[in-house]
Amino acid sequence: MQKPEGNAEGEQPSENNRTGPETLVSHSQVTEDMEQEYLKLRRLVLGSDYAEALDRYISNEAELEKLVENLPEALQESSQEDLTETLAPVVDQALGKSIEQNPSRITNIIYPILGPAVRKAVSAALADMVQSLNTLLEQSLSLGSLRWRIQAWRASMPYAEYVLLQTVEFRVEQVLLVHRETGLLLNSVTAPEVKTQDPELVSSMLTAISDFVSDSFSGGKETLEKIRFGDLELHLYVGPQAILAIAVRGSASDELVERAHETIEKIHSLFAASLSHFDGDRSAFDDAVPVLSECLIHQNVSSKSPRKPWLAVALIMAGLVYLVYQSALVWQLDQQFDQLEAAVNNQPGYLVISSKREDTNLLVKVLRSPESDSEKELESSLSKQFGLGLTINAQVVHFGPLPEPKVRSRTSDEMIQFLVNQLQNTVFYFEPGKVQLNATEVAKIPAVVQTIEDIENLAQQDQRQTFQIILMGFADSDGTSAINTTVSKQRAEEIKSLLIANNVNSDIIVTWGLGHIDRDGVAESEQRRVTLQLVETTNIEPLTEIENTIIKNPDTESQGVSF
Amino acid sequence: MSKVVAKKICMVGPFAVGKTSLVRRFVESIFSDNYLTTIGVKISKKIVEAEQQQVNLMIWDIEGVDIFTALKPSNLRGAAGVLLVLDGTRPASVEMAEDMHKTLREHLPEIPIVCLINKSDLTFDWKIETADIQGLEKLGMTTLKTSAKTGDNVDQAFRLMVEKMGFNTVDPVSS
Repeated sequence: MQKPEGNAEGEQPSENNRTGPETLVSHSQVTEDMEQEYLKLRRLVLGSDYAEALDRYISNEAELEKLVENLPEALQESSQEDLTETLAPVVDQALGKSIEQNPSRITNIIYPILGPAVRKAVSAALADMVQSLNTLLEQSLSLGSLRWRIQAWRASMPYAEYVLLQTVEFRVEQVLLVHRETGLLLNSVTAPEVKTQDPELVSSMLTAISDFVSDSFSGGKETLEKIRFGDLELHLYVGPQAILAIAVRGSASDELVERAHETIEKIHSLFAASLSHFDGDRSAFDDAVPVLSECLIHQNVSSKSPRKPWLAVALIMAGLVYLVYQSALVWQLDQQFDQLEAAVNNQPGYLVISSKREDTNLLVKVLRSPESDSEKELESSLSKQFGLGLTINAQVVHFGPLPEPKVRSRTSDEMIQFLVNQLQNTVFYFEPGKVQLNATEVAKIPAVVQTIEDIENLAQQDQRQTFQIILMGFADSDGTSAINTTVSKQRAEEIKSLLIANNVNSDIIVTWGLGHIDRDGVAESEQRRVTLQLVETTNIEPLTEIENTIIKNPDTESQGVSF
Repeated sequence: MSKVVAKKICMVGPFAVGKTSLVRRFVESIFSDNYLTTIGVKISKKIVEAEQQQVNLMIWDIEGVDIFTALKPSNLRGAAGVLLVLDGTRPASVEMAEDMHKTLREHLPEIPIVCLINKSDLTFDWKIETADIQGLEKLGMTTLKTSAKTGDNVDQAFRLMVEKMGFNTVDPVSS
């Protein structure tokens, strides 16, 4: 302290000496002079404090340097929490000021993190929304949920609650373990997301209510076991020293009841000492949580698994069996009908013209010779044989005497049979609505004519009876029966004229229009036809008039026609 | 966290002495006062801080007793303390309190009973003499004048109860 003061005072005379003798004043000298003046002023103002202030100034600088050097280390050393607390307001203010002064700078800095953050937030929100929308759709659009909504509305309870009620058969919401003597709560567990009141108060009140009911209605002998309000049930399992109270939404299963009994027993055995010396310190019952949690169960409504549709399957199977059986029957019947028809046709002197099936009856139209067995006899005998109804509508046609057994050359017999078959297998087909043959069909005529000639020749050689050819015309299902009859007749006439044109004796040809008599199974194109039938006759007489009578009365039982 | 101890205390007293008002003033409850008239008891909770522990007083506010209603023993069962409340403006309540004290002792021979002489705000109607109070104290009860209306001594009453049950409260009431 003394030294700098002394020095300063010592400088004073020399300065005065220096300024005094100088006459030329340079610039540097002026500056120096001013410095000196300042120095003098400082000394006058601060006096002896000057040196001290100077000293302090210099030492402050040193301290600052020291501080700068040590600051990072000091920050590291200081506790993070304290530092954070101290710096937080400063940083906060600084940040605020910075944003205020230059908002674009902070925008640029946070830009790279802003994008991902926003994207993440938006995607999370979207995912949430989709999830909830999905749930909502599932719950609101299904028919079942609509029904629930209506029922919830009718029961005037919130839909969510109703859904819970429907999907959960029961759910334990809260389990309270209560000290029986004091009514104090020992411990409690609650199902997740269940809002409950202070369990301490509830347990005491529960004891009070239980006591009240017990005192009021049973003179304190019985204990309250169950309280029900709305869909919530409160089950009380009373042990000697503790009560287990279980709040159940829905109706508790037997399993729960059993488990509750086990639990209260277990509590009594595990905490026997703590229960008998309970003084309000419930920490002794902290370990009861896992035991109590065992009662925290819930049972969902057993999802009605789609039962195997046994009834439907059985019905379908029965239907199938019936169908198979029926078709087998139909097929068998068909076979029987065919056999029956064949049997009628094979009867000597019988010629089946058409047949019709009605249920189990066969209606056949036949031509028969007067010598053949009567149709009545045949009906009864064949009906018995086949077990089917048979109605024969016969036209007695005088074919002449039945072929008498004659000694003939086997070859000519076979030849005639062959030719007859050939002739009878010939069918002329007509185009729809036409009564003229087309070129293809006309081409069959020469062969037929040849066959007829051959048969005539052979017959003459064997001195057989004269032959007669019956041309039977048919029509398809189109048109009225009158038109069909006319058309079929005209078709037969067409063949007759063609045969006559080919030198066949017109006397041996008989035409017959049968109209539409075929069954549905026969193709329409094959229904428009003329067939040939060859019969042996003794006397050849004109047939036209008689034949007309037959056609006019086709359904008459039997008509003797003599040719 | 400090240890939590729960205690059941009963609040008894003649009809219309202000038990429910005392309880309503400083405790938390989730139940309506209707419970009192329906089942004769309403339960509230009062938390009192003691040294190193917290005492949860489960207060059974029991229906007022008159010549027609007697104390139900089932309500008293397991109580760790009783607050016997009387009306400072009704001298007859002193007599009733003495009777009730007798009944209480039959069921709960050892627990502390604190006698609260309520309605201390009604100084002009005050009817209970010092002698009466001394008489009550001779029975072994600690007395305290309270007012449910102004809240005077109500909090202290619960803390006194806790002290009598053997806890050291943070701010002792009794000297």
